[in-house]
Amino acid sequence: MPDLLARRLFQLVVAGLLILFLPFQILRPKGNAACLRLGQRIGRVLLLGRLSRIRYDYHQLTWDESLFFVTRGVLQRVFGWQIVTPVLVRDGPALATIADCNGSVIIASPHYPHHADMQMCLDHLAGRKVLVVAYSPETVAASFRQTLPSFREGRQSIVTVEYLKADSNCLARLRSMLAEGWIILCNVDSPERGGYVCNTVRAGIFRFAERTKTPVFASRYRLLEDASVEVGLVSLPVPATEAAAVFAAHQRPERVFDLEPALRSA
Amino acid sequence: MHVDFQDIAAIVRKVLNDKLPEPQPTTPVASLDMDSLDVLEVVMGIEEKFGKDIDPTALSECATLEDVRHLVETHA
Repeated sequence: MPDLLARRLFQLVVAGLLILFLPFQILRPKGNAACLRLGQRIGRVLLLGRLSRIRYDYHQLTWDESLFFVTRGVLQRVFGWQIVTPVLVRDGPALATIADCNGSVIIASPHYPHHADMQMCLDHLAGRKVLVVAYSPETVAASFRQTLPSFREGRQSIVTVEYLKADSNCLARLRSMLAEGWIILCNVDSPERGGYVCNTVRAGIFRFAERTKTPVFASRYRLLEDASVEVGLVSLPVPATEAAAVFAAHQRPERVFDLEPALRSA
Repeated sequence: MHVDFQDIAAIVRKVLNDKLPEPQPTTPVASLDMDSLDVLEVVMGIEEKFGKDIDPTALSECATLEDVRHLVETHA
């Protein structure tokens, strides 16, 4: 009797795995866009759309984006699939300015799109040095290795990539590196204490750019219907208060940012 | 090179916009609750005043403002 029970249990587990695995196998050749559709379907089944009315986003991502990135991450980690998400860059003049600039420039972005910005650097800024400022450089580096094809294949040497921990010394260290011509990727928003929605724009990097006269650009990203990611770049004015205001206005219209008191115009 | 504590206190006071009660030599650096921009401003203030390039890590490792004064004084 225990043998029979064990056999039935084993058959049940195998059948369960097959049921879970088959749709993934069917979707596999379809890649990126299929990943988005799968994410959307899972979201509908789990009624996440209802939840989204309660809390719109998590770390600046819409539900579609959250579901897409989570689904893609699971498929890549569990099944080892190589799902390439194309990154399209809008606002070419800003990108051309960055490409032509020999000195350091800052690309300020809302929470999360280091991947999109990094892919943009890999696609368009070959030969440049990219410095990623992050609270957890190890996590960001591991995430790049998992999700960006160039990192997975060891081709990230198209650009030189370094990481700087965003601690209380980071801006002072950053200043000493400015002469080396880095493209500095950093998030400028953070959640209120204990929250998840990053909607407060911090003064630090804008004041730093103003103080050190470093050109600063705002990046925004959007997941398109075909599951490619669009990155929009715009050059920001030098005064920190104006830069922060333009940054916030440049983001997706549905996102409303609070500016830190130090960034509010008098 | 002698460094007067009042000069260090003036730099810190300016950076923290007088939010701090009068800085004392025994004031713990940790109690200043400086963010990355504050640290940068202090480093730049020291550079401008004394012409010395201070390592921000060494600055954050100072226990008190007197230690900061000593760091600036002894820094080559």
